[in-house]
Amino acid sequence: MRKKVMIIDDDKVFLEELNEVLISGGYDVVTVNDPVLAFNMVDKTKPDVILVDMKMPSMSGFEVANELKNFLGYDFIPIIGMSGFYRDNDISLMNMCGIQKCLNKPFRPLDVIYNIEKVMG
Amino acid sequence: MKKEDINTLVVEDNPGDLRLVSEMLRESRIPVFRVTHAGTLEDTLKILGKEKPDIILLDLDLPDSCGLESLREIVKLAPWIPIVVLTGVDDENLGIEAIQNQASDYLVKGKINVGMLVRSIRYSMERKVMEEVLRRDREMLEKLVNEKARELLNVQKGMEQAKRLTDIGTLAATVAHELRNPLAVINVVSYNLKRKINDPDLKKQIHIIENKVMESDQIINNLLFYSRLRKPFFENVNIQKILSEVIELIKFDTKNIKKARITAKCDPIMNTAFEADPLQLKELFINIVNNSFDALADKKGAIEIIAKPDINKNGALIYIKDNGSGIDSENLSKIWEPFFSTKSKGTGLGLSVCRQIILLHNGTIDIKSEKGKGTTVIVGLPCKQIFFRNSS
Ligand SMILES: Nc1ncnc2c1ncn2[C@@H]1O[C@H](COP(=O)(O)OP(=O)(O)O)[C@@H](O)[C@H]1O
Ligand SMILES: [Mg+2]
Repeated sequence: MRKKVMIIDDDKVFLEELNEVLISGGYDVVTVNDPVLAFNMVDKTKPDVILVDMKMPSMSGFEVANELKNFLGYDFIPIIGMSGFYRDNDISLMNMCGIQKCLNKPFRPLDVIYNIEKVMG
Repeated sequence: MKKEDINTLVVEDNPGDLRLVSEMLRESRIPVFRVTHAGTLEDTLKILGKEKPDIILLDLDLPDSCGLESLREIVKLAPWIPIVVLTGVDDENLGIEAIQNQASDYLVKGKINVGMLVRSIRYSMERKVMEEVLRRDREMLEKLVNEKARELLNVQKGMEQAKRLTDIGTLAATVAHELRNPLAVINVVSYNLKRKINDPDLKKQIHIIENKVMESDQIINNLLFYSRLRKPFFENVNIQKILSEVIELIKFDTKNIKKARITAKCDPIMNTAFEADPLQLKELFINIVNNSFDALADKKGAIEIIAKPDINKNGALIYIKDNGSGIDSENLSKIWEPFFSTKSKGTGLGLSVCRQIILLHNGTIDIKSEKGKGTTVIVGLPCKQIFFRNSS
């Protein structure tokens, strides 16, 4: 069965292009441009893995992940962060929010696929 | 002649006046006056070239000079000798002018008695001594003030530089982080493009784009690294050890060892502990040595590091010498500026960071370079960090 990936990012172009990468990689993709809408979409689409941009204007990746894991009970969905501002000391915060991995921008698309497979075991 | 005797030079061309003054001086028992005599300015200056009288009694009108001119000439030659000016009865004003021109006192001829003369001479001599002391004090004070001013100026310059670097650091960090987002997009778009096309030429060009994205990312990493400059955390470090760690790190990049031979010679004394921030010292030397490697281009070169004690300053001098391209003399003053670089991929922050680290360590850094021959960077580091040791 095809795996379903949700991408949450405020950059529309990035969203579309990453969508294309993942579709070509054999995934079903749900894109979310506004993180506020993500929770509803998770309920509706039940993704197997979530990719989330860490820095968005309305909500940070931390907040999105924290809400999903600690308030909505989606602690079984692995989350991968994407950040241009990755700092070592965020690791514990990432763990607390259930973010399993953070990809440093600019990453190679193949790294995304590699890490999706890895977090899903 | 006893020590308290007062050597007196009487400058007077009128024999009558001369005899009068000489007699009065002879009358004094304590102190005893030893009198020399000159009748012209020329003679006076000649005598002053050989002898150092304790006091000069000066009649301003001489055959070869008149008025204040005589006084000025003598003061110019012997500013340390007190001068009592003798004026005619109608010349009180001249006397006052004489005092304004460095005479110690003036007496009106024909109104002098022994007591007055002796008192005036003693008073003039004492005053000269006081003046001398004051002058020396003032010079010392001036020197101290100048030094202090220079020090403050340096501190201020340092602070300005530090502030600018902090600003640059914040700016660099922000810009760097923001740039990563568009770079990420470019990368993903390139990937998608590459999948869709078969033209090998186009594929090659897209590959170039991907490489350049990686290169840009590397520049960003450098910028972030440089912007992380912080207050040093001083501990006891071994400079020799730090230098060998730096060399190890640099040899890790194999293209470096192919290019040059690098050696380090440390005076055994350098095993003593230095108070420094080990990470910052490493950063410092890595930047310097990296510059040396860059300067070697592709020719076979040599980089020599020599560390020896700086006894005078209770510290160390570390020389990093290369036989690379050298620096254009017109660039020598610019290389310290943030963002000045002659390299296509340089950030131009290396040396500004070096200088900043050196400033934080109360050290010195100098660069001597000759175009085409090579460059030597000289780092001076104090052994102890007295001023900052206990501040956090
Ligand atoms: N050892 C050296 N030999 C020749 N040129 C040097 C050397 N060190 C520094 N420079 C000059 O100083 C400039 C500034 O150096 P730096 O601040 O480290 O920035 P960058 O290395 O990024 O250019 C260099 O671009 C180079 O022109
Ligand atoms: Mg450099």
